Amino acid sequence: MIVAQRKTIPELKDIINGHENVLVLGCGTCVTVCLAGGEREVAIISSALRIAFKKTGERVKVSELTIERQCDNVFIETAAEEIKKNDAILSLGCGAGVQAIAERFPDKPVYAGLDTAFLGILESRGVWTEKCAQCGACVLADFGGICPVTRCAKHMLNGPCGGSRIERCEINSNQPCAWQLIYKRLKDIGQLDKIKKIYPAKNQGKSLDGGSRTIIREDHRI
Amino acid sequence: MKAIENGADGVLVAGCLEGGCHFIDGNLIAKKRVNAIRTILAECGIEKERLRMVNISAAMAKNLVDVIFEMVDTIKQIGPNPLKTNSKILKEEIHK
Repeated sequence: MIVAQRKTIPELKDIINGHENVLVLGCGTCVTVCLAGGEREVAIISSALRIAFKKTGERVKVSELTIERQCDNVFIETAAEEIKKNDAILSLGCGAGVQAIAERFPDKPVYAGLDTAFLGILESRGVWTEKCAQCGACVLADFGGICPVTRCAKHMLNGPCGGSRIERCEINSNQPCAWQLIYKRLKDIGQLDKIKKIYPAKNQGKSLDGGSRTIIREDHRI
Repeated sequence: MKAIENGADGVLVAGCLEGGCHFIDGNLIAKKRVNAIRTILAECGIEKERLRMVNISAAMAKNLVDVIFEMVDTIKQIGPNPLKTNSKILKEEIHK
């Protein structure tokens, strides 16, 4: 899932400064699961903003709404009426959600209320970790399902670097060495010979080269 | 949050003693959530002391009374909720 975290209330206040009617718009998908932009967080942030504006004596009406998914026009339509009533939208969706809302309502200022961080998993209660860098050319099959592009601090495809200490990364000792994990995993599944393969330089052309990426499925187009 | 937003001077959340919650760790989680809201209140410019959580059992009436008096003293020291004052100003402006 996409993992994000909220901006601070002073940051949000600055962002929506100058508008009289603001809609805080939540998203019921990834950011709900990572406890950043779901219905409950929308209620908390909206209330906090109302408190902050009242405190400084500013008359700003902050209303709230959460839709099923902000990155899908079908669901965006369910918010259309409420969006039209307001001067600006503070989206608590991920970066894709914010842009989807902005594209659908070209005359309406749409602001990001979250910092979208990474694609990850719920590691344990209240802890999310990054697992995928969305490089566009997945190498997980060769590394026992552990991504060196994302989880090795040096993004090494031909590791380990030799700098790890007691199975911890030398760049960030809070993290395990990805190559140690890869070695253990390949050993456990009987594929240790894969570690001998010398990987050529990765084709970065499938990642952020040439701007944003598009995937077209002709079999689904109308 | 709603209570403070609506002008309450302070909010005291009382949970069961640690380890004595019917919902196992519900009161411990509640304490963490209350602390998170205290941080948000501080970001809003509201004294976080206006919100406090205590763990107290139903059989500890005297302790509860003491905690309530402590809370009242704290609120007296920091004064009334500033949102009430500002709301009055806003109402006056509207009447003009």
